Amino acid sequence: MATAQPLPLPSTVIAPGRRNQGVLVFDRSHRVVHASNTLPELLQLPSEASLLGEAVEEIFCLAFGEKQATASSISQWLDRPVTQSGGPIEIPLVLQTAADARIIHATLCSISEQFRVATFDDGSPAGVQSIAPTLAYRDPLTGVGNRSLLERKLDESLVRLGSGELESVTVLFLDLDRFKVINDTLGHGTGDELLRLVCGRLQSTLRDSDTLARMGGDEFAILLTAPSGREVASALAARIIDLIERTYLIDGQVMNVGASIGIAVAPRDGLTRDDLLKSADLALYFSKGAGRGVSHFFEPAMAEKARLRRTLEFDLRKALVLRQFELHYQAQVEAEGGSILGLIASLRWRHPQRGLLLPVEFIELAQEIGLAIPIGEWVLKRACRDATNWPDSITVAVSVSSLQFESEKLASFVDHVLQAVELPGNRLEIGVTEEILLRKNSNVLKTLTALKALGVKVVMNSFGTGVASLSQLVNFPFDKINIDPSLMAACQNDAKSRAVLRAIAVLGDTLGIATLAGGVETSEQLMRVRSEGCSTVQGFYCTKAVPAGELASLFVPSTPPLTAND
Amino acid sequence: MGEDIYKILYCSKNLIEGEHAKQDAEISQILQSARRNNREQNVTGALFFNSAYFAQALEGPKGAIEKIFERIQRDPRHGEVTVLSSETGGERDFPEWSMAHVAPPNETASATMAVALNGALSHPGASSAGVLGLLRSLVIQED
Repeated sequence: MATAQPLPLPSTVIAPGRRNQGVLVFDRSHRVVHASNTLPELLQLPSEASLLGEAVEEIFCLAFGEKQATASSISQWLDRPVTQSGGPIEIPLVLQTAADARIIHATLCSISEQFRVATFDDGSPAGVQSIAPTLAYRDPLTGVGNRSLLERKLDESLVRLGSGELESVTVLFLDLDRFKVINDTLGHGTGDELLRLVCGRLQSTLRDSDTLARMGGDEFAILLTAPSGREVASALAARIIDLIERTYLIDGQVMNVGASIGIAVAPRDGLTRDDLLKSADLALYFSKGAGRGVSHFFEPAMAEKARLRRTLEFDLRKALVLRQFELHYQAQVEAEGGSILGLIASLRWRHPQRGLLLPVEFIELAQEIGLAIPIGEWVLKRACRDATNWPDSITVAVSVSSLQFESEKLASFVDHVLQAVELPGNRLEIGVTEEILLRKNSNVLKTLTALKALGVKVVMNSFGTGVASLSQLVNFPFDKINIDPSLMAACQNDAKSRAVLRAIAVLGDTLGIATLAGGVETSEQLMRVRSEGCSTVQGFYCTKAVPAGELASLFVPSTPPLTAND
Repeated sequence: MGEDIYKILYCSKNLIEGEHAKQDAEISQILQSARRNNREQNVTGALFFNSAYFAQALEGPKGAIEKIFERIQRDPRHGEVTVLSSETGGERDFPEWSMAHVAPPNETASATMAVALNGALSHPGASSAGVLGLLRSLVIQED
């Protein structure tokens, strides 16, 4: 984002707020980003809301007539370069209103690389003072209020709330969805313009008594002080989300962003500035988690949830160092003979207070806080080391997250681990989700190929449930397809699911890819899997997942688990 | 002129409530202000509406089109705005119209337009040529 360095301000410009003075802030392309509410009366113009986004020349034309507005002195005045050595620029001009021929003293000054201010005064000398305090509260990129303005207005409102003058004070926190992608791919110039258009749309939904501020980045806050129930705030939020989601046209490009909103209302959700802003922020966080493009009011439960998450995050950050992770293994068994072919590793976290946690309880958090890759690497290393204690015929299977794939270091890391623990590559199976194949990223195929070159077997996990098409099986020579356990469960009562199972088995057979049926829990399911032609099975019916230390009994060759139960 | 013509076509859901008369009044106000502003900025185009949809084509200098479009986007009288196409270059489709009002001459034409817009809103991109073609043919029929 372009951060314009504010110039030192001229000392004697006219302050807004009095009836006989007005201020117009406009950007480099001469478009109005702020107009004081005194301006319409002073210059006989339409209301200030409709001035926003207009070309400053058009406003001059309306106020002073075409003849004055098109005079070369005006265009020179407007185009005057903003940076010159020797301090701030302050250029005076005398004009006459078109409507009633009053004399107006206009002064132009620049407040930054990006913005210029025109002030207007109809002659009263009383109002000469610094406009610096006003500009300190403006966001130089968009011309709307900044964080300081919001904080000041919020403080004032909370005082008025305390004195009974206001019934409630409402804060909306808004965050753009997908803005970063636009900023990164279309350039900061486009990103900046988008933020200006967003501000224009936000401003168009607000009343004069409401305050809009850009808090930083793509985050905005709106302060509502006029009497307004929750219905008003939630209707406003819905309208804002609708408006922000509408298409933008910028420099010939069509683009879309979304908006998530969190709402907090004083006195209910906080009585101090910090408490209220924190509540609004938590509500926004909840909205973003709830699928984005929605608004939510703050609820005390959100604070509790955030507290639990912080605790879990704190614990998770220590877990690797404190060796609280462990691997459990479940057998992959030959469908016909019943002998063990390999073991699938799955991660467990032995939490000191909460006991043994399954990945579903912490993996998403680990991804959010950037621990997915270190944990994934630990799993790979640990599984390979464990496998060196098993009979040579038994493979170890490890699932790898898409984040690990994106890191591009996966193949060299696997190579390093195999050499360090002296495990032959063909005893390791790396399981990937079908989702990674959908990424338009040639690195995925490169990594998969590099893994195969190490002798590692590459397996497609959870097949039959997701979005992958059969054609993807042809694009890369997978060693095995792991059929998702949910398909097995569905086969119970559903002939179509059985047909899918059969089709996958036949497909695997034809392509020379082994098929593993997951979720086999009953002898009936085992029989079905055998008859449909899957080569390998896995599930509670064969073995449950057990810690590495309890595996020894499985390896006794005389008692394959399936024959014992058949 | 020198500058390439920039063209956009969008459709949206009509959110104007009330009787036909009120709708007609709103629309004629929209058309009036559009015509006044467009003429100054060398913008031409066509607007179709029925009780359910709007479809509008705008063509002219890029800066002017983008500014007009942004103003349209802020208008609460419609929603679910879908841009069907945007392109630079080529000839104007509505050179003589600062903003043509496309009024289907009969029930069949009106129904055809509604079907095309319904399709366009569910599959943007696929049927933009159809919507534009209908707009053009209906403008000509109105002559």
